[in-house]
Amino acid sequence: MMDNVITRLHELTVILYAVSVLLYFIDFLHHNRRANRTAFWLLSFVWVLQSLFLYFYMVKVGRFPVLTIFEGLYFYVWILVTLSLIINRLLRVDFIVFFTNVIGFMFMVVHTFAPDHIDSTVKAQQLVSELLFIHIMAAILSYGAFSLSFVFSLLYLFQYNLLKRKKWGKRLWRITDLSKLEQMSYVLNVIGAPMLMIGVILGSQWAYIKLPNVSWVDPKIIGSVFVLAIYCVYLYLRIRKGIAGKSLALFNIAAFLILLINFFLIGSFSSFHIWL
Amino acid sequence: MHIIVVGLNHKTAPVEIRERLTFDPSQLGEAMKKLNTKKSILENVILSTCNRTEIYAVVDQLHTGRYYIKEFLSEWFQIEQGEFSPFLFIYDQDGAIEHLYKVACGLNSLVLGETQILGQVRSSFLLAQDENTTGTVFNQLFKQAVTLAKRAHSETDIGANAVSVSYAAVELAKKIFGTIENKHVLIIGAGKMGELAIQNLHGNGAKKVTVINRTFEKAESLATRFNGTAKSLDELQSALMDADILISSTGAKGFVITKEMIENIEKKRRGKPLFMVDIAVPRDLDPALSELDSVFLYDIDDLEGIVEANLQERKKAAETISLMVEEEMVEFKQWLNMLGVVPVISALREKALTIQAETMKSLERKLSHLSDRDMKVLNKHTKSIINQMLKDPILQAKELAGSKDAEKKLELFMSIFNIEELVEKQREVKAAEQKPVNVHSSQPAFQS
Repeated sequence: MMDNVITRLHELTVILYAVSVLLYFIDFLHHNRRANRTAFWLLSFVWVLQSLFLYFYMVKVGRFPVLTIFEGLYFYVWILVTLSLIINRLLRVDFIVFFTNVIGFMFMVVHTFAPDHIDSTVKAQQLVSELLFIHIMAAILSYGAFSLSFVFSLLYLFQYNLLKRKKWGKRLWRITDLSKLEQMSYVLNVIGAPMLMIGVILGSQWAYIKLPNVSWVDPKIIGSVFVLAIYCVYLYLRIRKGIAGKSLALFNIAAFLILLINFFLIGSFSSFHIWL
Repeated sequence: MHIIVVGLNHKTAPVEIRERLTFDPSQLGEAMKKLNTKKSILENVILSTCNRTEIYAVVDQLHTGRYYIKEFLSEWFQIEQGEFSPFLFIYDQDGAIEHLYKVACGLNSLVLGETQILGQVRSSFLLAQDENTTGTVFNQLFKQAVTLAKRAHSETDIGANAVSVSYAAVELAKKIFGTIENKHVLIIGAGKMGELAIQNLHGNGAKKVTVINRTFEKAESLATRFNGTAKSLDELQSALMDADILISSTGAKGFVITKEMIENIEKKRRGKPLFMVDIAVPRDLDPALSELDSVFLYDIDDLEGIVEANLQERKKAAETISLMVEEEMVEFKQWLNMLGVVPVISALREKALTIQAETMKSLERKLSHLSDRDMKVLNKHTKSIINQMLKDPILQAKELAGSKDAEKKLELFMSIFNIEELVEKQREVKAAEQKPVNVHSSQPAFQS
């Protein structure tokens, strides 16, 4: 019964999410306020459904659902939807919800087709500890912050090009100013970087306790430290060197792409990381 | 009953005529009150702005309505009708409703989509309400017009974005910096154009201003007026270090600022954006400057391009609003038709209840042995028969009022039930209620 409810809930969420992103796309192309409003409320409903899904899933498995790739991706998408709704409500930055949820929807699709490995769940339950839980939570939250920061940088470059190439039109006036886009991108990285650092430290400590034979030159560890280093360089350039503008936005986009490579590719070479 | 608008505006009359027919705001209420005492005028709202004088009125007859409005204008402004009549426009019914909606939405304004007119329509209507010169029809029509205009502004981009060059420059600067309040403005050239630029930016919140001019005294004189700093042309390079916004309008023959000059200080500026506007002819700013990442360079043609693009957007929005106006007109006409059916329904009920009352009297005479309680039961049940019998015809009458050719269909309806006279009486009562101050009111011939 519970399984059935969860499956239906998930299917409904995916469909509504798709419709919402589609409506945001229509708004992006033709500046249709009705489509934007409908998309926003649909997305809010998607958020409610996702929250319900997470709740039912938690009841079913009896723990916070972040211990497998299947669970983690869902939680990550939930974080993205939550952040995009909050930012849209607080800052009213046009297009941020659209671009963030293009990423969110992509991950939702990946999640839908990701095999829910029984092995990994069993393994996950064997290895579960508070340390692991905080490690994963910190990592997912940092990924959420970096994703949004990436979207702000993307919008920055988009707006920058419109201004430089003198493309006057609706989009130029709808996308917020460069200053705000840059500031938001920076603030989200300021939140994301220490969060990732906590994630990496706690993850290492967990591996040291639970998996004494783990190699410290494991690709996942090196990859994560490298990503952290990149974001630290970003902060250094911004704070100490005072670098701003287009080059910093490009750097941030590159940093996020490296993060994605680390997440999807390098993780698969790892000897111990049960996630990708 | 008819809705008409008689007026003149920037499209129909030159300023020499408009200025002679502008109502003093302090006397507008009095004017509306006076107009309402005129024969044929049932309701009125006067809209008077610098660009338009328009009298909206509900009149019982079109011809007399027009005549008395013109007479009123002539009397109020002490001008012969012949002087202003050629410049007047007159719309009635659909034309008048459409005109009001378009005016409220800013579609009839000199600057397409401006929002000031909405406030003016609203305050004129509120004043008319205070002066009791509006009734059922205008209370509905004007409320609907204001709501429609608000919706038009919120759902489309009709009022968004700059449609003047100076405003376009400020808007563009805000797209880079968010706000220009804490930005350093550097004005090169203390001539008329420089002065206008500084005025505009200062008016939009820019507080930190530096003026550079070949003649230092002129720079100083302009800078002092805006609490700014004056610098000589020799100090240009150092001034460029701190500048966020640069407006150049010198009469120099060559480029005043070259790409190399900014390149030399770009590192020290640490990628800080520099918004540059060249309003000089020949140009002061080297076009190659735009190759630098941190420089946003625009000239007067670019700003005009923005205005043109924004105007095109407003025109597109105006088309959307025109569709909204059409929808709103259908809705208002349906409401108006419904208003027309009320006397018909009242008359039908009145006739039926009169028959019922007469029947009860007859029963009372013929069946005198019946107790009071019996009579009450009979009264209740005969009324119930009336109500049940009338339920469907009343619903049908409402349906007819909302359909095409409503007037003819309602006439047939009235003729079937033989209630034409009663309907006329109901309308007279309604008209009297609507216009307590109009002593000259003739019998309104309702036309839905």
